[in-house]
Formats: sequence, structure tokens, C-alpha cells
Amino acid sequence: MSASATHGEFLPIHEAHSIEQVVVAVQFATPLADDVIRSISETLDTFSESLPIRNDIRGMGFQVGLNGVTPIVSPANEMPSGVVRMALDATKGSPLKELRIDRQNLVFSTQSYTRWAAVWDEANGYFEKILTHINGTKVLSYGLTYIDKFHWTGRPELGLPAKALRLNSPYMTPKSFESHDLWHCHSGSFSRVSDTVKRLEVVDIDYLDEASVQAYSGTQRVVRIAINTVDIYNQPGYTPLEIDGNAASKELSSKFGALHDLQKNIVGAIINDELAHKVGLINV
Amino acid sequence: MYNSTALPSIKALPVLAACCFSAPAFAYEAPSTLRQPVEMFQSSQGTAALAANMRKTGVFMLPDGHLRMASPVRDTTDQERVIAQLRAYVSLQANWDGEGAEAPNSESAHAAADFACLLSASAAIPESMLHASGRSALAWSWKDGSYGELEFYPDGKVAYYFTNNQDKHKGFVYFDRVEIPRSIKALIPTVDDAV
Repeated sequence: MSASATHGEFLPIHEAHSIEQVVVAVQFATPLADDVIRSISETLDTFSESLPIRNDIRGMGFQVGLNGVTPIVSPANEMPSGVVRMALDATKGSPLKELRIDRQNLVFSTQSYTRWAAVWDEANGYFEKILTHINGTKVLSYGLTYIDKFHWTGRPELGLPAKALRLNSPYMTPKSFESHDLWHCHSGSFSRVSDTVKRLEVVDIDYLDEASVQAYSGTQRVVRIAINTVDIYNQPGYTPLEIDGNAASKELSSKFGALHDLQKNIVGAIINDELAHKVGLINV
Repeated sequence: MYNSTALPSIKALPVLAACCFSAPAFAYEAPSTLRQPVEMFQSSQGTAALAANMRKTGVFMLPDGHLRMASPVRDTTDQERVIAQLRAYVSLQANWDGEGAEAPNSESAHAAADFACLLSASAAIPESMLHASGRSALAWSWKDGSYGELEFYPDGKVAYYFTNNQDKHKGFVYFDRVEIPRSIKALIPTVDDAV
């Protein structure tokens, strides 16, 4: 019996890759007007084949009075402040993909990851059609988030992070490798990408126990890596650049392609060669 | 969609509930149509069933006793399993079959994995194979007895062999790891055709 069978090993959550979720987002500098939300909402309905479920986002207020705090729900006939369209997982009934537009954000998130090109083709197909409605409002930022997860197959106390992560990773604190308990590592930084783009890079690494079907104890130890990169425009000290919806739709592929490449480099600097090979990040 | 009878009362299981506090930071704020699972903690069965269903439905309990709907993880697909199997070949040594087989060729295994990754949702998922030559292959079997196989060479060539009762297709094509060659795409069975 191999050592991994007796003691355990870290495995990517989906065997061939570790990506639990990808989130692609465009943020606007000012809130979208009602008529823009209305026209986007109609466009979103044309995606009903791939995203069959629709939920409107409505504001909710609270009234404080003699009866305590009472919620005030917006009337159903009022213009929604946003729309969510989603597809559910056929087995679990949970959201598999979601496309959301609200006053200041356009977001596509999916668990259905095969490879970046396929995810981007789908996201771009939605974004290009939506962004044509947004011409009076400028883009503030483009953001990409990946959540990767590796689960430990053995007894929790044997699942040391050094078996999954690079000891000299710039995104890890050495103290985490000395811990025999759960921990969290966070790093965040800005960098100047160009005279117009300020980039935010946030990396969160968690070592935690999650509810699990497989684990006899009911929980399973996992390494969870969330990487969020955001390119921000019109920041103090940077050359102003006004990008409207049409301009944004033309540069989306190159912008998100660059963020994707950056994220590959970051995750490659966190996980060790063995896991990098398992998820196809390196071919050894 | 959700099993409404398989979950025990959470009040009776404070210890387990505390263990399950791993609500992912990317917790999904459930729209109203997806909130029913929170009301499911009514019946009584074992703790294993609770853990299983908490993961299955994505319901997590926070330390303060509040239930939270988090995005549950989808099941791993057969396509992902095949890709992982192909990558795992690389860790085998020469004579992996006990009959003197060559050590698996890394380029071949990764080319096959890349090919499997490019298969569309409508394509049948192949079986992964490792030949004694050390080269990796993908194979399909049809319900009518037809058979097809692709063998991946380290230099980018792919040998294809597809046969049925009427005719045979065989030859070599070049695979650039970006797109499935058109001549092969037409030969791959759909989910409905394959065994």
C-alpha cells in the first residue's frame, strides 16, 4: 500500500483541476440609470436558454418604530435595481452559473470550469451584448477571481500544508507552516501596471475544515486559495482614461486574458510542483 | 432537488455543528427560490447523514447557530476524471505493467489530457489508455460495436483508428493542443451513440 493511501494526500477538488469557482466582473464608476437597467434586463432575457432562472434584485428598507425593526419590501411592480440570471446544477439544484447586473457591477460567476478559453468565451458572449447598453457610464475596473481548493484525503492532523504549498512562497507566512492547527494567510498589494492602470492583487489562503461526505468525522481538511486581481482606472496619480461600454467590450479579451495569465503565475507560486502537475499548470 | 427528510435536528448536534462551521468565504447569498434547505433541519437521523447532506445541499452552520446557504461544490465530471488519469500516468515507472512496458511519455500524456479537455459537452467521454510503448491513448466504444482510438505521439502527431461494420478510418493528424483537428472531430461519438 502506498504512502499516500495510508497517510493521505492533497488532491485537486475536481481531480483534473482545483478550480471551484471563477468570477469575472466589470465595475462601473457611477450607478446605472433605471432605463439602462431596463434595457439590459431585456437583453439578459435573451440568455434564457443557457441561464434559465431569473431573479430580480430589489431594495429592502427597515423601519424602526414601536414594534421594533420592521422590514419594508419594495413593491413588486417597482423597477428592480438589478437582475440575476442563473443555471442550476442538475444534480444538486444549486447555482452552477450566474450572470448578475446591478447598479454598479456586471458579474459572471461559474463553477462549470473546463479551461479558461471556454469560460471566457461564455462570459464575453454575455458581456459584449450587455456593455453596448452602457455608454453614458464609465468603467471603473475589471476584476477576476479564482477560488481553488485542494482536499486532504487522510486524517486531518496529518495533512500538513507543506505537502501542498511551496515553503518559500511569497504569499505564505512561514508561521503557517509551523502551525498544527487551522490558519489563514492574507496578502494584498497595489502595483502600477501603466500610467492609466492601478492593479490590486489580493491573495487569501485558508487552511480549514469543511463539511464533507467522504470524511468519517464529517469534516474534511482543505487548502483554499482565493486570488482576486482588479485593474482600476482613474485613480489619483494616474492619467485619466474614460472607457464607456463600447470601448470596454472591445478590450475585454485582452484585459481579462492578462489577468488570467497573472493568476496562473500567482497560483503557481503558491502550490508545490506535485499539485501544479496534477492540475496541468506544469507538464513534467 | 433537495431531500427534505434526511437531515436530523441540528439542535441535538451542537458539537458536529461547530465542526461544520467552515462556511466558505464566497458564501452564496441565496435568492428566495433557493432558501428551502434552511428549513429542512427537522427530522432525525445519524450525524453522517447530516454531514453528507450539509455538503450536498451547501447548508452550513455558523458558530452562532445561524444556518447559511453557501455555494455547494458541483460533482466532478467524467471528463475531469479522465484528464486526471492521463496526468497520473506520468508518475508511473518503466515496466508499470510487469511485462517490460516503456515508461509513460510525459508529452504524450499531456497531449491526450489537453485533447480530452477540448471535448465538447455533447461528445462522449473516452476511456484513457496507456500503451506498452509509453504513449497515451483515448478510446471510445459505440453501442453498435464500433470502436475508435487515438494514440498521442510526443511530437504532436495523433494516430487515429475508427472502425465500424461498414468502413474503417485510420491515419495521422497533427494536434496543436488548441483545437481538435476537424477530421477527428467528425469521428468522435456523441453521448447518445457511445456505450
